[in-house]
Amino acid sequence: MFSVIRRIVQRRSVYLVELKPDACIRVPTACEALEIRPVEWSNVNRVSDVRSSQLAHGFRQQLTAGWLGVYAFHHNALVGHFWAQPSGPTRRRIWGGVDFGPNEVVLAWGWVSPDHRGKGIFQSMIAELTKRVRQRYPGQRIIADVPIDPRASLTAHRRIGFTCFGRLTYVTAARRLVHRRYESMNDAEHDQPNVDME
Amino acid sequence: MTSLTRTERFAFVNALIEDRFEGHRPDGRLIEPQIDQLLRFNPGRAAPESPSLSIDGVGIVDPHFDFALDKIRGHHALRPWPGGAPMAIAITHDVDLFDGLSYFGLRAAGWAASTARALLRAQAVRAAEIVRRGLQWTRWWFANHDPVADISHWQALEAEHGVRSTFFFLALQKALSKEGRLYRVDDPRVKQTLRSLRDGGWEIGLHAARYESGDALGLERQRVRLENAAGCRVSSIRYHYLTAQFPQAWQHMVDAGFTVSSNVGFHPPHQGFKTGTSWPYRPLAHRGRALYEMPMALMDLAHGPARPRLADFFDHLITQVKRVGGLLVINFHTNYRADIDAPGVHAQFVDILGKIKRRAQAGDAAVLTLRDAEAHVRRSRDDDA
Repeated sequence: MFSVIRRIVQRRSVYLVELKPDACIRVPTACEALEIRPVEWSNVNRVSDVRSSQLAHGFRQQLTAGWLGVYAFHHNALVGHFWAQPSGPTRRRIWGGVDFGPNEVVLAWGWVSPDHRGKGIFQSMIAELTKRVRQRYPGQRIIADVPIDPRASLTAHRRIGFTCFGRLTYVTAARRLVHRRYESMNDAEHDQPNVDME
Repeated sequence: MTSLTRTERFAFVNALIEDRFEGHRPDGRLIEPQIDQLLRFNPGRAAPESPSLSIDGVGIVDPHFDFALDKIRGHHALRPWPGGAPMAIAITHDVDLFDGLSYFGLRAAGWAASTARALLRAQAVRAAEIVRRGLQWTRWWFANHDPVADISHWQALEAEHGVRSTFFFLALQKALSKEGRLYRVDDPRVKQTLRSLRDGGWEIGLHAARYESGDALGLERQRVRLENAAGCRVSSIRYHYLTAQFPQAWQHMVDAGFTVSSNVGFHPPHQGFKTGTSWPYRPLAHRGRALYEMPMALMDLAHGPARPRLADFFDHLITQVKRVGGLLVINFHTNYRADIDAPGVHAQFVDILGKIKRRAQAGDAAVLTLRDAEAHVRRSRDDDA
């Protein structure tokens, strides 16, 4: 009974981070044998090697819709993915409660294989993806919603140059937004990120 | 039969020679007597009169016109295809359906009616097949899974094989009409797909509707609707159900702004070269019109003895086309991806795609969209002039 309720009613708390159009992207030192490649029609299905064909189908729809994506390959095996969704001229909502746009880009679907975490792969993907977004959509703010806990994702974004601007808590029931609380935040309210690059 | 004056016949022959041969060319007087087979049209669904071979009752017609020219041409060189390839392949797809789940109640009613009809005719096997299809689609409907509504699958598949193709889309104003349960060209999902194809390097052509294609105005209206949805020029055309009536349909196509027709082909189950040639040719050259006809030689189908032999037909046809240096145009419907509707057809397409990739990598064939094939022939001709 409770598991059914948990599936229908979901609560999510995230930090909202932004990379302003004029902010510098701090490129991390890439780990050995790591390649970050754009997702294209010729490689989009590679994600089914490590995740699922259903996800490959979803990613193909994202490519059709004009999203930008990157895959991380380590010794030619896919170990991570990250996507950027442009809002276009309208306001949009992702994950049921995170609003963005008009003329903004949100980062989403970030993932690193559990066996390859802690090697800076996530940061490398963020850096490459944001560079591509800047090339395609110059002058647009890039935002992301990152989990409050654990802090690894927030740390990775801040190391690249993202700054925190808010905290969002929202509740959905049967995928409909029923409650939303947003607090504006100053990036200085967080611990200073460790920006020393390896 | 189309009768041309002697002057017109030689204008047609000269265009044919220009398109096919480079440099020094054969004497047109040797070729002129052969051209009648390019200008003779049997009714749409007629079986081949003299198939080159028959496999399981399916007639296959080889490019015998090209063989006849080969005997005449002597030392004259055929035009090579891009990259110096000795032949070319054009993969095309008719997009008859955009999805399998819309107006599902209507589909279900259709299956019920077909099952009842089959039972009344004592066709128990056919009835069972329809019931099986209906049940599978119903399971998919509950799961919101639609294997037909996935052009992205074809894009990824072809990109993985290093090729691009031509997709023929309908340009209807209504999804439900006397044309059938089809799709609107301005459906946001269709528009997004069209633009994705355009941006990814695929060609978009018009799949001309049955009831709006009787004249140039109808074709032009459809072309404009499709261009508006796709955001790009549309220059190739294939009629839905191959209903083009020759030779007048070519004039309609020219007047409506098309430059490539791929309409000369057999209705299933028969395969091969309906007018005996695999080369693009200008059917209205005698009137100074630049429309190219690029005959379709292989088309998939959902039923019948030809269905499991498509890969075999491909193997045969590509050997013939390589002999004469022509263009092999193949057609696989996107809705036949669902195996329940056309068992084994998609697997054969994947097999054929692998063969095409190997030939292309070996320099044995250039893989082109119809638009690329047209551009290549025009460019080669202009370079010679």
